[in-house]
Amino acid sequence: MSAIELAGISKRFATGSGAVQALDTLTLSVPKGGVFGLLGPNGAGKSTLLRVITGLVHADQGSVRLLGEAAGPASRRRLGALIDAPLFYPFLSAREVLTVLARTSQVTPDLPPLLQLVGLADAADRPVSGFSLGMKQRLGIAAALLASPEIVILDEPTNGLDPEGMREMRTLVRHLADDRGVTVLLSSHLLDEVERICDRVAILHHGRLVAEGAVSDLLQGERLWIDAAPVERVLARLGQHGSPHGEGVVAHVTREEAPALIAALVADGVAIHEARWLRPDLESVFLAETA
Amino acid sequence: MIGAEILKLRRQRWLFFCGFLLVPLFMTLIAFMLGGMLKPPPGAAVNEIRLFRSLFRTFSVGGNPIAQLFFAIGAAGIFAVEYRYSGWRHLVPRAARERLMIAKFAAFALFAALSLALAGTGDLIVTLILPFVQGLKPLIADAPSSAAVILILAFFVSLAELLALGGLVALVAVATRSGMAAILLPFLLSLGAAAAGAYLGESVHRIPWPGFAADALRQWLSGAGPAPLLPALTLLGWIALPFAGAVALFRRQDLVSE
Repeated sequence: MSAIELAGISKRFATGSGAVQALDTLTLSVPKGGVFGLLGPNGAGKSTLLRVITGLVHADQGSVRLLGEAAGPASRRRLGALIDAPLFYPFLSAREVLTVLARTSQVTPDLPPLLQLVGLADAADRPVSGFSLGMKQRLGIAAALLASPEIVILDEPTNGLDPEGMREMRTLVRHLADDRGVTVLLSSHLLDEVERICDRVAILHHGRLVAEGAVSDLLQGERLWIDAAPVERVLARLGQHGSPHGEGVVAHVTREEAPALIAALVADGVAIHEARWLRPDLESVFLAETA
Repeated sequence: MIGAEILKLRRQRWLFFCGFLLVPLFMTLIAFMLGGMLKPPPGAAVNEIRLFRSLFRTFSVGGNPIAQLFFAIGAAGIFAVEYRYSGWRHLVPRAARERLMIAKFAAFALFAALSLALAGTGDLIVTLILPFVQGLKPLIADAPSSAAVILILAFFVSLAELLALGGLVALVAVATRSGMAAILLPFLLSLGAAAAGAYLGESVHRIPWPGFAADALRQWLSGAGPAPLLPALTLLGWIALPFAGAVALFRRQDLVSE
């Protein structure tokens, strides 16, 4: 069973010439457990999708299922979410914010451990109006975890955090998935962050799903980069398996084929200055899919 | 849910004061000042107090346009706060939208009732202690046998008038996502109705407006008005329809940014 199943979701804002197709027949399945990353350039539809899942925005078409149930107030009680910027009532303290949200959700959480978990125990009784963006972000995480949800949706959770805070957030997200069995769906524009903490990713572009899979699968396909002279002779040897790349040439060969290729190039009189394996990163995959 | 709304409003101290405390405090102060200055009516003993009449008058505060402005401020503090501080994003995912709105309406009803009760208590205290301040032994001069029932009904008529205002504030807050509009529009309508009342006289009661319906009910309670059924239905309709409209609109509203 999937944690989140989206089938044919479409959402259009406004009408006429100013209309924007935010989501276009998007179908996506987020498996239960693990951390699922949502990537996409600005305007790709990530935030709209998260708002559709959380019921803030109504889809024009399509269906949302959460843990096997049609999305609705009852099934959404099993998810916690931090959507968009972490804005809170500035006239309340952090503890009061969580109290208000708990009362509205009709749950009675143990607040001290939760505040401890997000590092706000010492600031629990201070007004939120004096909080830094990072502290508000932590409060947002606490709000998302308030009712011990089975699914947690985090929209840009490391926004506003310093490097130490980002590291702590990554640790927290992995802890939720690995130790508590929570399914985490997060959107981020920090590709290396997604690469580090996500098990699977989906890439959106113009409201459509353009790539989806395990991070390890998307990053498959090593290539051998060779800095050699003359380049033309290398390209001639490689044929369709080679292409210019910066100062050198990229060869699409396996690790088993590499020694024979190097030997052949040397035999051809090519001077090889450097050769190393290039591992594709999420950024290159992302740019290729959204180009 | 209602507890959450109460906590939010209590922490918005200025809105809470303006919306629900200022009117009863001001009325009590005015009653104290005027009571000290005014002489008893001709023929009345100097120590006579008209407790029933005074309380009845106090409980008609729900129809005063200026008082309604302050109650609208209180209502906007409840209904527009989520738009102002982006609160819906935290509340909507885990609670049915209609329940959220009903909790807000219930919180407003509770505070409006407390505010009216506070105004009544203030009036009661002032009316009873003023003779003592003046060195007189008070004598209650108007106590009809059905006084308690009439005063309770007057209280609920005034509360119903405020609930109609609350429903209208809720509708405008959801439709415009603006606290300012939620205050001003009902206030202007109330002001316009008061002007129409002054211009049209008795015939204004034919207009199905909550203020006129409440006035008709108050007249009936005084033994002078028309049959209460139509004004009562008008008032109930003005409570139910705008609030139902607010709930229906909110149920379909896209919260892209609050």
